[in-house]
Amino acid sequence: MRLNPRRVAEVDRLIHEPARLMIITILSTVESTDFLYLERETGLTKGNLSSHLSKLEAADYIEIEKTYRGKIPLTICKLSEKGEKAFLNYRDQLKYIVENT
Amino acid sequence: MNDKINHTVQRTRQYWFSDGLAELSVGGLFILLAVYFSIQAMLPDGSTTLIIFQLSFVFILFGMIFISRYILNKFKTRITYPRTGYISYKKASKKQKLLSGSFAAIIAALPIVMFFGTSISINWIPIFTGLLVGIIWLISAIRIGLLRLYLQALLSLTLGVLISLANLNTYPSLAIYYGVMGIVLTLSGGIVLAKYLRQHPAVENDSPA
Repeated sequence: MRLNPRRVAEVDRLIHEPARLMIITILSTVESTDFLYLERETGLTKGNLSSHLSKLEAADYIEIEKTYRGKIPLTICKLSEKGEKAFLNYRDQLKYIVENT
Repeated sequence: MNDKINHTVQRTRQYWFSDGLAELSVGGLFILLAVYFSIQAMLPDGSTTLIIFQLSFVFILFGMIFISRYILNKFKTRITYPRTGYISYKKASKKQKLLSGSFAAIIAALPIVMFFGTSISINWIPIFTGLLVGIIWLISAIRIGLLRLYLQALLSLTLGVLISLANLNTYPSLAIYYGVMGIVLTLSGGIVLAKYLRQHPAVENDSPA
């Protein structure tokens, strides 16, 4: 089968970026997680992680809830329905590319 | 890229076992079961206390499971989440709920088998218990990919076979099985927890101001 270049170009670049892909992958495995876990697992700085989360939130891929655990601020992140569909679609696209190259 | 995704998924699943608290919780539960069966072994056959003990097993088992889950969540909230972050896993699917419900029901049904069963069926209870726990453990090991879970599954199976071959009475057999498994799981969980606490000192804050 020949690779359709249009499908390659259609790969979701918002998810394809390695740090955001890791964030989305983690969120697809869980119901929700906090900023601290994402920071430790991705190895990103607080600022960098905040920036990536903001981009994903702006695209409605994730939902962010700011709350408190006692007096400690807690940022809870969750994959939205749109984000879940986008991630599944991204994985399908990736599979298509791998199978056709 | 897919390998990286799969690796991240597996690491996220392993997180539940990274602090050893889950094993400590199951280990504690097994030790309590060992105590329960030891008490039964000491009670005279046909005594009213023994019958009450046998028939109340379902309530005792589900009570123990409920309390151990409550304590586990309390410890996770106090120890793990402030250090390495909070994760809420996806709720169990109907299939998973059915599987874990069946497992608890089979374990709960064993004393009833002992109550009404023949001596042949009773002799197979330790190996059956070892196999059942071993299979559940093996499924978790395959899904999570942790070597120590494979070893614990193997231990469960081996222990079940050895105890059945020793031809002991049923209550002492089950007390030994749950006692040994409980001690091994508690030790394993304790070692993992000590390592985890050394590697992860407490963190004050989780997010940028």
